[in-house]
Amino acid sequence: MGRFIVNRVFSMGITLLLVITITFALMHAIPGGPFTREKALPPAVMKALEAKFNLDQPLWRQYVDYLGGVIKGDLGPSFQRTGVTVNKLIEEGFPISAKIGGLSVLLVLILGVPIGIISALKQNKWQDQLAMFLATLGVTIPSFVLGTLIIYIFSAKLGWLPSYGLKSWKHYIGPVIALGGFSLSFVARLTRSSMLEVLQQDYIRTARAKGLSEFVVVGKHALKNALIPVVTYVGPLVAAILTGSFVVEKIFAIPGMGKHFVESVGNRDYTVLMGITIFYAIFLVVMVLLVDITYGLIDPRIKMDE
Amino acid sequence: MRSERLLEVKNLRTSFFTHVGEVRAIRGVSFYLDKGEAIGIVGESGSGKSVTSMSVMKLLQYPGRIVGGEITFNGKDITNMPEKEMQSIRGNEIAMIFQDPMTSLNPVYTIGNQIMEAIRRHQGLSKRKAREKAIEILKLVGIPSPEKRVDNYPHEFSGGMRQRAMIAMALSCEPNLLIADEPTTALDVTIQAQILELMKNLKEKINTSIILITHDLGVVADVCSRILVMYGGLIMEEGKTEEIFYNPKHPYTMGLLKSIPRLDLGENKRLVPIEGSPPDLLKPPKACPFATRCPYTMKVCEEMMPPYFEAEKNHRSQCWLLHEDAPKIQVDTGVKRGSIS
Amino acid sequence: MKMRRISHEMWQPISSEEREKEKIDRPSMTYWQDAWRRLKRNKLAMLGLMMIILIFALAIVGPWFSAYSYSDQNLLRGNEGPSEDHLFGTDAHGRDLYVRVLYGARISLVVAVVATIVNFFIGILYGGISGYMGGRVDNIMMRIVDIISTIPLVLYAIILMVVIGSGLKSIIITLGTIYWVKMARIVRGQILSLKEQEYVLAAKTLGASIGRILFRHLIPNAMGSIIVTMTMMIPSAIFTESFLSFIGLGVSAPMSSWGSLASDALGGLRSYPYQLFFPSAAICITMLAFNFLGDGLRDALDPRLRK
Repeated sequence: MGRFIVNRVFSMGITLLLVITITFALMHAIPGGPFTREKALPPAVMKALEAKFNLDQPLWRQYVDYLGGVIKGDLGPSFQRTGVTVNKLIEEGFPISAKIGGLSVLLVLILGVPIGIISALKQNKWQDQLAMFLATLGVTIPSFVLGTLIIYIFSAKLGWLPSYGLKSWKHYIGPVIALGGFSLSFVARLTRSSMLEVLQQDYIRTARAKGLSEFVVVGKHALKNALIPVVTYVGPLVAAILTGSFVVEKIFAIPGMGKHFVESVGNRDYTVLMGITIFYAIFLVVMVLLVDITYGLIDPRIKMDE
Repeated sequence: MRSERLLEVKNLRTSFFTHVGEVRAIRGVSFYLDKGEAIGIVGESGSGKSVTSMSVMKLLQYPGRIVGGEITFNGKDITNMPEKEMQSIRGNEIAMIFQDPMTSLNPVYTIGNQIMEAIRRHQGLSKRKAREKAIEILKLVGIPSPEKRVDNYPHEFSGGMRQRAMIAMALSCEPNLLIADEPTTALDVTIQAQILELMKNLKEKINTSIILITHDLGVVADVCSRILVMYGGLIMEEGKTEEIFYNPKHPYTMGLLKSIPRLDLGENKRLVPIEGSPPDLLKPPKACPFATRCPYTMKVCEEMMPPYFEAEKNHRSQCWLLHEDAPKIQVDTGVKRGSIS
Repeated sequence: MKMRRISHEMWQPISSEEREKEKIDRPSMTYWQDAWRRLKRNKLAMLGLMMIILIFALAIVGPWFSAYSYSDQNLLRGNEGPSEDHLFGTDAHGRDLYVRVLYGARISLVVAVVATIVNFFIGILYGGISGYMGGRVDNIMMRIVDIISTIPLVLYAIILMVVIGSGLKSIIITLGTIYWVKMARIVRGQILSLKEQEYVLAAKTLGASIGRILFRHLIPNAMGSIIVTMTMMIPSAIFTESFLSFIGLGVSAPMSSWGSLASDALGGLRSYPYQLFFPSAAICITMLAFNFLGDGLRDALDPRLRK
């Protein structure tokens, strides 16, 4: 187990180094510098700006400096907003995004898994058909459509929910559903099909032949096996919620990381773009590691020593 | 001394209600089993032998259902017994081992956990006591260093060891009846012999009755005192093991015997396969199901279902050839007397 | 035993020619014939297939039959609701939304075609080679895929789009660079298990070349899962494009895609909800159609479900 984690942390480091390098290379491959405007800046101003952001240094030097900064946890200043660092933007935005994202992940798992299980146990009965009808609908609606739909129906027409901001718990309902809707449907479908497959297995028949009650057969023998593919999906789930936050934060006007990211796309704030991407990469890689460890704990066939 | 009946199945009929129609997997099967006795049910795949065992266990999964007949176990009619009561019989009084030990054990729980589960369920032992018992029974089935192996997961066991573990699990509550559904089919030949030997020994030790289900007549010869030969959802022939081997009355049994590979067969003698395939039980034939493949088919065979003819005491066969008006046939299956123990 | 008397001729043996042979009522079918038969029986899947054909047919020929082009502005008739003139109404610039939604379908069609090509050429080849070679080559190739797939595709797409600028060409390049990873993984997994099969061994013993084994033996047998993955990758690519367009990285005005139309409608949502409704409905219907078809194909091609 210990060696497994050490190995994974090591390959995580390589992945992150590559991600930083590629992001850095891409950002510096953009034609024209960050300060290329429709109206050219005076050469002197340009020079001063380049000096301020170390852009007058040779590229390798900039890269080494940047890498050093990232290792120390410093993602540099924003190009477009004077006096604002990328770290500060993340400090401001991440807690907000994490709260909404975390709630969405909880919603997805707490609702999605039981719905999938009930559907599988009630296969082809009305409960199953209703749940799968909704889930199929759920995976066809993109988060931006779901989000705007919620605003239009529940804020504009019915006036039940506030449409923007995060002042009370009511403000969270819309964004959390918009963010989790797709994944919730996906997890419900995944759990159902996984459960149905597991219930066909020989070891379930063995468990029944031992005289165990249906509750133990399903709750102990089937569930743990059925959850294996669901756990594998948690990594991609976090990634999906994270990217989903780009549009959901835009629609509900929430000042989270996603909003900063989309804004920096709009005004070509390369350091912010680069910094947030790298932050996301670190976050995701750690999440994937946690998922892998959980996976190994559930499924003993995964050899932790390799 | 008259031995006691343990299991009596009368005119059992089981069907699967699929979307294409009713598949009549078992069409009226009757047999019995005495305490301490071992019988074999033999037939090719699709003959209904596994469905018979699942019916006795009342473990048929949707869309399968018992549609008629009576199952009496230990004097109790279990045909319509509620599921809750049935659960206290399963694994406790009737236990079962399955064909494929690779897939029949739950991969995410330890062997010990899976054995203890049955013990705790039926005997209400504490965790520690159940564990001790699990180790004891693993030792009994010949698992080396059982106190360590009890904490292994199934994937850490070899195929033969897994089947031993399955047997340990089945025998953990000392059941009156053990149903073994093709327990050796998925194993290597050498392991097969070991597992059969183990089952024979354990049968003596804990006085369990056994129903051994297999497609391989060679497997039952050693363990069982009586054999039922099934085909097309019916019992074609039933008799003592020696009777079935040396004096088969049904052409299907003869065919099965001719197709066993044997060392004592001369080099120029070939195995004789049974041509054709089993009947479609969606539209079961109204007369003898074997008529399409039988080398001795007569007109009557395609017209009327044969009744059981008693060849000797306790030896019956569902074949028109045993009728007094039928032509007499002479068959050499190649099985020499004294060739089975 | 009490029994009806059986007449003498009943005891005549029947020769094997005379007897009623078991009729084989299931004609033998190839894998693909069987799959197609199963798919045809699945009403939802067929509905999905027809919807996809209809949507793309409309995307291709629809704009020709319209009196307006996607960029025709008429500021006097801005923000008009659906009418006989403008089936889906007009946007703030007075452009016909019906044509613009159909134009968006064209973008989605292009994206679908690109995703298919990329998956077929890069994904299958990459996964096939990795799986077939095994060992060190496989290790390195899969490590690369691991690294790429750690970061969500959308994030790459955004960065790539920022670098090469937004527009249809960029979308194609972006999809081409990253959209083959999942397919590569699935094909590799399939090839890994298939290459152990006896018939591959037989082909190898007979001296077949790597290319021949890969293309004649392995990939055709992995086709079932390839097609099922395809029906997931195409809608996911369309999804991604509309997502990128929604956050302003897709096609640039006056071109339209479903995502950019939805994004444009956001501001006037309270007053002109139809501007959001039509492009959103177009996305959802397309996704639904692909889902129906995908589920049907999975059932039809799953060898475990075959009799």
